[in-house]
Amino acid sequence: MDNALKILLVEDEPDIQAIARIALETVGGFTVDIASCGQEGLEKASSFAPDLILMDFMMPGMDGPTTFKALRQRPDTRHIPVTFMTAKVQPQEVAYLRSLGALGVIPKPFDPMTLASIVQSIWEENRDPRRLSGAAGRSA
Amino acid sequence: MTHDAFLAQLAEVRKMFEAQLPQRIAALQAACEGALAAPDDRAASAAAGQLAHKLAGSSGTFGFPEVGRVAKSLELLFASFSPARPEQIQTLLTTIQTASKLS
Repeated sequence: MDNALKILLVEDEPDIQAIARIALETVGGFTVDIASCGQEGLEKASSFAPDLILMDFMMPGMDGPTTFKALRQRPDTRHIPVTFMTAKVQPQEVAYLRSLGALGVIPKPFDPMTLASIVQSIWEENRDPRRLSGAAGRSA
Repeated sequence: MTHDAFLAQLAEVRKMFEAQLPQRIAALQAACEGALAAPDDRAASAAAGQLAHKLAGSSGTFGFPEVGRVAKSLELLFASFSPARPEQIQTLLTTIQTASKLS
């Protein structure tokens, strides 16, 4: 699977890590690495060089938005698209994530049976140059 | 991997979540009671709200949508300053206990 999409999941909850990994690897055929906090997410964004980052919003220490901003400040990670996975899906919360430049927002709870197809859809939309200008505002 | 093997893996992680659910609800209950006992302590409210948020985000994925819905209500209550908050929180804590026994 050399050409498999590489996804970095930044998520502190072990049970969500486990079920998301199963869904993304088994159903989606993606190559997945996991970071358990924002700081580890920054490190693995550099070393793993993912095509896409799935980021939790609320994490101990460095939260999702703070991690996102730090990724954007680093030359080697600033280009990596980030989609948030969060239970914070009030309109103002989604608008805030969009304003940061998030590629999409996947609501929690998510269905493990459809997670991979949602991620694939977000990825394909990102790759379509006709939609690049609106990609930052996409919601899943 | 076959579809059946995939479903078996999902069932396994769901079982692990279910086994841990009583402890997570007990921790949420303790955090809520701590916040209610110290209504001016914003850190206590924030801690309870964060536990509710985490449960709201995960329970539905593991087959406990009602627990997730009640946890979301608790999270929103801890983000608000409703005068009816203590009674509502107690009611929701009772509801979440019941919901955790149903999947």
